[in-house]
Amino acid sequence: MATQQVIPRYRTFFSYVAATSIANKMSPITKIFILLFFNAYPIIIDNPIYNAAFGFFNIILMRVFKATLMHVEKYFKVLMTLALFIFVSVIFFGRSVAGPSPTVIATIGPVEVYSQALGFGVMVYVRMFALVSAMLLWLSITTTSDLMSAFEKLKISYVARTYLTMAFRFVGMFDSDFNTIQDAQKARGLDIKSQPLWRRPFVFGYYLIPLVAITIKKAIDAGITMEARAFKAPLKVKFLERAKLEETYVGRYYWRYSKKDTVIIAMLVIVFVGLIIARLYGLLSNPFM
Amino acid sequence: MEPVIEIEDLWWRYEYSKDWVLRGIDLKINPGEFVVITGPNDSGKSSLISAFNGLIPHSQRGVMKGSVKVLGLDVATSDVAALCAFVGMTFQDPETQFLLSRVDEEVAFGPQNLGFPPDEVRKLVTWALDVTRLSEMRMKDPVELSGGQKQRTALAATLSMNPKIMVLDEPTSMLDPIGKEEIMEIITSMKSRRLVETIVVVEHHLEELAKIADRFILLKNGEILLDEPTEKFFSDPDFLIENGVRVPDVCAISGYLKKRNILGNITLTLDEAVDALVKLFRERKLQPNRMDVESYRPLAQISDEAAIEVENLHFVYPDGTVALRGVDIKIRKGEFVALIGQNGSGKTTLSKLMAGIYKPTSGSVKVFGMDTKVTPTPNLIARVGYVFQNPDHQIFNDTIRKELEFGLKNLLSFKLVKEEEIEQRIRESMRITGVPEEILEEHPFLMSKGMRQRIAIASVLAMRPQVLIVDEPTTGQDTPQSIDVMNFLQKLNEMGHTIIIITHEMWIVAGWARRTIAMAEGKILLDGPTKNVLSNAETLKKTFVKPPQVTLLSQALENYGLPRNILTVNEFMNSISPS
Repeated sequence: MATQQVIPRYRTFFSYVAATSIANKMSPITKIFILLFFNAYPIIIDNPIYNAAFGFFNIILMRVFKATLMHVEKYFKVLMTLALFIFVSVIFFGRSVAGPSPTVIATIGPVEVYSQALGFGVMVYVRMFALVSAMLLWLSITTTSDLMSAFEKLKISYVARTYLTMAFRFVGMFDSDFNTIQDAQKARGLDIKSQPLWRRPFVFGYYLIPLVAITIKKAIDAGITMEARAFKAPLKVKFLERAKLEETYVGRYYWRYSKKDTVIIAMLVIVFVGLIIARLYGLLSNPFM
Repeated sequence: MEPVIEIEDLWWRYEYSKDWVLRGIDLKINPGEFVVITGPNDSGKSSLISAFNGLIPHSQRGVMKGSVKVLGLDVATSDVAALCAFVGMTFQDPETQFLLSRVDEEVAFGPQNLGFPPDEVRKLVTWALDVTRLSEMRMKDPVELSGGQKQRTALAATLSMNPKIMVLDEPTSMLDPIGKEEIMEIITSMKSRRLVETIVVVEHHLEELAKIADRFILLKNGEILLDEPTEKFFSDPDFLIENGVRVPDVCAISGYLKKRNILGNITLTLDEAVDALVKLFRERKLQPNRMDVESYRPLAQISDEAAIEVENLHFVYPDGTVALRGVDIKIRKGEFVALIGQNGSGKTTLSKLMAGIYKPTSGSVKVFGMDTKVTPTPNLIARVGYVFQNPDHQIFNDTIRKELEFGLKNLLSFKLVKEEEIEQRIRESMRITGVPEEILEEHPFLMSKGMRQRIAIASVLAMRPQVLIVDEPTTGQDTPQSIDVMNFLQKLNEMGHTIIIITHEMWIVAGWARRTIAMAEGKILLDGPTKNVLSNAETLKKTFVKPPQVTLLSQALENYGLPRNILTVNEFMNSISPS
């Protein structure tokens, strides 16, 4: 690790958010609504132009919320590789998604390429882009205390909310291990950047196996630590009568809610309802199919 | 006095193994005691302490015989959760103990689980952070903290549960020197302020513990070999060394002098040792030997040709973190170099730049004349091998053979090695690293950590790099294993390889490195022969590195004719003789 930066920032599930960010003033429950609605919007929308706009809107929001973007770039590079696979699939196996009267726009040997299949490919890819950007936005502005306190107010059990929070916490840890593994494999001559695009997905195995092995080891260690910190006490120890955990430290001191949150949640719901209505009227369909 | 921990004829073996890890342990620990358990790896230390809070037999699968009682509770019939209210435990690797992303949340987790109401939890968190001097860090992500702060967070997270017994499993083994010191200060204050009643520490690094612990226990092959009050424990250094214990320098020296009937007592601290030896010199019972201590150091052939040349090197990470600020170094062929400094000083970044894994932000790194900015990575790694601290970061094949072939096959695709050479190179690297042939088709993940480390080194060595960079070669290894690894690196050095190690262990630096580079805040503060660097205590302070205890002792005795730059106990013993 190198010299620390001096800008005050908080750790989120995925990266960091500046201490001065307005995301830190937002209620944890509002962030839950963002998670739900921002991931629902791209599924309702079929039009790739709208979804692309929504994806870029999410990236702009990350800037507005002063979230660290350096990790985000990497995931968009992964999306580029995904694009290749989607388009190879719709070119070679596009007949099944091209509809009853497909239009052939090109022929590659015995393979006919359909415009509707390409349109389907564009829709799927851009939807993925919008979904990934929405998830990255949420992971970039949400902390463990946000999730724990929101779930507490939603009356989700202590055990379930702790496990869920820790599952998200591991996302950020994956990233740092992945970087180290990448460096370690580079030291033995494997550099993914020097590989042709088509080979990259196969090379990922060389990174994934150590990543999975290390993650399993970390999960076992985390499990032991949880036991050593009495995680099972509320479930098992009958003599601890106080162990009802109706309200926890995090729930008491990290919960916040203001009128602005009501406005944001109301807007999210209105947009969601609006999108459903627009979809029923066919306003969100894919013009390229 | 009723013991807080009472163990009778404890036997334990893991479900997957036929061998007993613990063999008939009988042990009593009394309230108020500070006990240190030491011994080589796989001696059963961690298994033994896991029985204190019920992780054994409840969370680990295996067979247990005998009885363990903690504060009168029978561990076999009590829940881990119930025992955790009385027994707090922290583990070796602080990072794997972090469950949440803010220090205060992390510290609140334990008392929250024990059912304390939020206001009470807040008081406990504030108190534990105050004791561990982390109050200003409460909003930080524990993962972002320095090594010492991380382990302090883990300590605070246990302390906040208000345990009667505190059990610490190798709390300093993964820390840099300043981190080690920070943890020892907290442990000392826990004892002196009686924040917990009883403390049990498992540790290989005994130097600081010798000053504060009441009693030491040596465990080997699952049996208690020695269980004595501190001074008596260190009275026979040879016995301890034979059994894999790294004896603190001042204890070893006083032990040897006691054996020769020159000194009456074992000294446990540097101050005690200085006082005792000054007295011996004044009473003319000891005299210095005028000799060149340098002649005891092994020498390898060093050529004038530069293996690595670094000029005005700057490096900034993508998130804007400045890691290196204008570094200049020339490493010649055949050198054995140690890079030292606290975490975050830029050591690992510099070494990754030397191996071509990172490219400079500005300035240049040349490997045998090749500029790393423009030379393809395979051409660089054929010359510079890099072994990572954790072998598990690079192992992924299902057989050891495939693992050893991996780098070579990458070189083959760039025509940097001939196919017919591969088998020969694998055999050669196995022979040098001591990887036995009969395990070649085994899965590497089934091997011990020490063997996995050798496999990782062998897989890099197979590429026949002229320079080998090893990051923390002795992490997780006990003393005999560490000596083994370092002797092996020395053998490679004698064969002509240039060796660069990154380490926090000053006894390793003192014992093997011929040249030492001390770094702080991305700059080089000291660079020269190890003897000169490690004896420069004043400048070393800025890198938060402490010279070996024996060096400080020899410097304190300079007025009596001892050289300032003694680095090992052997050198010290050779530099004095009875009058």
